[in-house]
Amino acid sequence: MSVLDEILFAIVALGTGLGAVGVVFTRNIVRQAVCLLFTLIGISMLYFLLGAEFVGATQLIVYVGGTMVLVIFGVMLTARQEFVTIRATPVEWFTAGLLGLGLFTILAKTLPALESNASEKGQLPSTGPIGVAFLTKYLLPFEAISLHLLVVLIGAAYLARAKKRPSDLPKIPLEKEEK
Amino acid sequence: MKELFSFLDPPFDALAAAVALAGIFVTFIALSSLFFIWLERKVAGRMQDRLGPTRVGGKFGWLQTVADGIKLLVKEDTTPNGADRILFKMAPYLAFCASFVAFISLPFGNGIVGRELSVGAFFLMAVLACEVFGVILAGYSSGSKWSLFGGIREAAQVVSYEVPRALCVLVPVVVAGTLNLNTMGQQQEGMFWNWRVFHDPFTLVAFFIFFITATASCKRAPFDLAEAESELVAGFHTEYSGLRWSVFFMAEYGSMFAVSAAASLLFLGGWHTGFLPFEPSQEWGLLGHLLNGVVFIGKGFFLVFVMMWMRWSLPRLRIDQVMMTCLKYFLPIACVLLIGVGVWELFAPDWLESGWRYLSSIGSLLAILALIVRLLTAPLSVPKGQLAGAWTGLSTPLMRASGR
Amino acid sequence: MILASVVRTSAGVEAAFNLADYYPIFIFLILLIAFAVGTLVASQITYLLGLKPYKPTEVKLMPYESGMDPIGSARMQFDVKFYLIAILFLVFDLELLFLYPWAVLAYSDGADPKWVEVFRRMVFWEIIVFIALLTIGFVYEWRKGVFRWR
Repeated sequence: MSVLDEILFAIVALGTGLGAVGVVFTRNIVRQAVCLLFTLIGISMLYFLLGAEFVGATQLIVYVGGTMVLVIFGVMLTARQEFVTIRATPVEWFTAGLLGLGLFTILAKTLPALESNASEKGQLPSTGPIGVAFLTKYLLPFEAISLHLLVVLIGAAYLARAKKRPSDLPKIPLEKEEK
Repeated sequence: MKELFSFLDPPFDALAAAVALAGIFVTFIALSSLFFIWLERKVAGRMQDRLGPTRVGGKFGWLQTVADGIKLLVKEDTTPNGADRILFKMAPYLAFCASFVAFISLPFGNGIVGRELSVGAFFLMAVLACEVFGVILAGYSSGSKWSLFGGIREAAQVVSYEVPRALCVLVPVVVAGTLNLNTMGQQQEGMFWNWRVFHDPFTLVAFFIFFITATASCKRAPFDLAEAESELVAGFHTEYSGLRWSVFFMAEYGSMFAVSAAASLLFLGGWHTGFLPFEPSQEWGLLGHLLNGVVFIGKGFFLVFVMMWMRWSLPRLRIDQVMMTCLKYFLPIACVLLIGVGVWELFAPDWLESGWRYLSSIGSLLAILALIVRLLTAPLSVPKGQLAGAWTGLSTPLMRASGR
Repeated sequence: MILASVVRTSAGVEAAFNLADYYPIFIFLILLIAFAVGTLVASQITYLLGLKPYKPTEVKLMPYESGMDPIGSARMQFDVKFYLIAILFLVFDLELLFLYPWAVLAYSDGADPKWVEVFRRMVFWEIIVFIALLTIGFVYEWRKGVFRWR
């Protein structure tokens, strides 16, 4: 790794981390979603830095192009007031802080033990080997994913149809007739 | 590109090459969107029997966009009262980022590419899908009802049109066996029957479906529901003015060129002229590279022109029509195409493959030539109640029914 | 062993990893940020030079509602069907992700022609099963009338 690479990693990691901090410390829920967007983009860039192009692009299309759109949609659907703000109680701060600290300790302990610098190994698996793995060794999980998605589709259909019966529809107040 | 900077030490030659390439691309995007805005106004004018811009900059009003740019720069920037100020200011740049980053994986010639990603085609689709985020944020943060409706419509439309678009990308990918856009271009070297669009009947249909869905996901008319002027004032950019507004337009024209260039790479032979039986950059060096670039940009510009042509020819669809067209037509058709191309690759004998290739390519060429000849020879003015141009002498079912 | 670390697709061996190849992506991003900052600075400069006016009034800053005073907040609830459509398509999006590796691999030349002959047919039927399962879901939704826009 050259100096440039290290600087690059530092910038990307800093951006990702700042996004994550932004999610925690922003009150407005839509701005939180935007901070999360930056974190997710940062993570996809980290994948690119590791040479995992397929995973990086997947991260972009699934999280940024798909899930985040849904999140914003959900917020827009539920937000009745001007700005929805979220305030954490001290107990929540305490629990979250404890959990975060625990996770950080575990990661800090285990990371040095792992084999580092995967990017220096040269030939990294890209789309081709992923395909081979899917279609031979991991064929059963691959088809199981299809089954999973089928279940999700049926669930979505249920959600979509389960809403209005005529009696549930809100009554629209008619204007009073003039005498 | 890296070879040009070999006088620098290893990490810095790549950096210098990257800066040079990025500089070229930024200039290209800026200049091409200036050109596209002028072209759009000119095309619109001609199609509506007017002249379009004629005054600024001499003969064809070709400095019109520059004048517009100066006007936009000195125009008052307002942020409406109910707006979420930070998000409101950020949204146009998010949209622009997405359409601009897509250019990284587009090869403008043999090896003239920002980064030859091994998942180029996938990356392109992924990044272009992110453009929707800027639009939704603009819609939400403006604090205007028109903007909100535009943003929501855009979100639903783009998320859904992504699916058939990606399926259509997969069709040539199955044939090519790679997602690398540069390799795909190289594979279509030589005469025009090597172009992917003529490979089999499925790629031929896939090209058209891809182009239509790409138009829809660029929110261009007839799918421009996000900004439908006659319904939503200006849709998601109702509250925008000045430079921020123009950034949205640069994003739109940028992504229009990106999908058009992708279409030409996936289906229309990329940077190959189709009439030279060799790779120009290998035979002629720098001159060949230049030719490649010109051909590639030319194909992209032509497809963008077709998008404009469609915009001024077709009426806008309703939101339910747009969504249902995607669900009930494009999605099943694209699925069938994908399976079809798999079957073709597996079972089609050689004589059928080459036969189809020559027949369809030469047939298409002859059909286009015939159309051009007819356009040139057809009388310029026709009596009232008859079709004009290439369609002189023909009649629509409605005309036949009314007994003309 | 089928799970080779290097796969020859019909497009040739995929290139080795070198981080320097990715510099352009990041240079692009830096340029983008520079562009954003540049336009902001340019618009600020024009303002400071007095070329660009800034005279906000109450009416000018009102959200545009075709010339009427705005009625209620713009952050209103909208129809849930947009959301449902988006969910539906996200599922299809996920399905596509798994098709990309297949599409790259399905008709690759590979090293051993005999193995390729078997592999191609096998992979074809595998993916048919994959797509068929989702087609069931699609047909179910259609029959259920999810695709009817109400």
